[in-house]
Amino acid sequence: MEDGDRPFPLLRLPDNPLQRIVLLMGRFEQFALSLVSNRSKELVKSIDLSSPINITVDEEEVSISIHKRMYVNIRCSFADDQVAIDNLPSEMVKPTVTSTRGRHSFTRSRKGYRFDDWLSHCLEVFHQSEKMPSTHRRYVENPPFLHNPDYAYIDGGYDVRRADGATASIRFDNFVYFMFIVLN
Amino acid sequence: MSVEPEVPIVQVEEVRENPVLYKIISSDNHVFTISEHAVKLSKTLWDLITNLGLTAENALDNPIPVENVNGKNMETIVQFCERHKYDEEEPEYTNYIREFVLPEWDRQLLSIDNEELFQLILATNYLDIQKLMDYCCRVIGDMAKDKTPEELRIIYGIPTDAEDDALERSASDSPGPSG
Repeated sequence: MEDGDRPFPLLRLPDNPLQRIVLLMGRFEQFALSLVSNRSKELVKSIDLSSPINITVDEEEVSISIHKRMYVNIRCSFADDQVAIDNLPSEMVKPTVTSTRGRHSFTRSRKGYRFDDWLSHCLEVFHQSEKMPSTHRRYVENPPFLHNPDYAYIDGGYDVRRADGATASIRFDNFVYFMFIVLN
Repeated sequence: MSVEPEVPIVQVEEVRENPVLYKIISSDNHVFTISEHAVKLSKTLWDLITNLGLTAENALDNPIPVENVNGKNMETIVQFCERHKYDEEEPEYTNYIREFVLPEWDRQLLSIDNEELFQLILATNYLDIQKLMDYCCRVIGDMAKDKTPEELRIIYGIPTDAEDDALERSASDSPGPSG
């Protein structure tokens, strides 16, 4: 946009050019656009992008990685405490969103978004919600955190698999907000 | 069809290879001539020509009025179509990102301000010119390159959720046409 030029009224365009414009953008720009407003998010969803999504848990951060073909294309990195602290105000949940190819990044919060909202956003925009079911039940052998073996299962959440095969599940609820359980 | 032009005819390019020419009148009564090969790039115009039964003999005597496109945009469109009339046909539109490069001539043609670009893409959509649509979309999409959400909000004039909600509320509160 030139100095003094008025904004380009993108959302006033008919559907056909509007969707083509978004389709011709890069993944990083498509994702950034999805974060501008609910309307822009619906626009990006409407072009049916599909990208596999992984969650990575390191010692100091949790990352949501969005892939393009075989490679990580975008990474949303959250400091450990932004994921783990109960009821952290959403303005304090500020992931750094990085384009791993172009090395561009921005750090921002989104009103009302905590980690699970960011994850849901990514899953929705890249049409992976159904591939990551949040309702399936997994049984845990000899759970260290439960006294009653009858309750030795986990419902919902998302599975995380490390390269050596160790599997864990991240679950969110209204009481403890965030629970990370290593299954095996 | 007898519409009298109020301004001189704009002859964009002399066409020697193909003698069949058509006349188009824009919404503000500018008259353009365009060759048959070029006008075929617009599905809307070509359908109109076919349906009106225009032929090489009667084409110039029957100008085609296009009420949704003004003279400025029509001039750009005619220039574009004449430039690209012998290009290979584009493959059918698919849902994949096409890695085409915008030629420099076309980038120059589309170096116009945002309001003009908006009007041009509306005209291109109405006239159904696939290649020009792709080129306009590429120019508009490139504005987003490496930008943050805050920058995109400014570049594309995207309202916040609160602004959208307020607009929706005021639209639903305001009386309809009968009330």
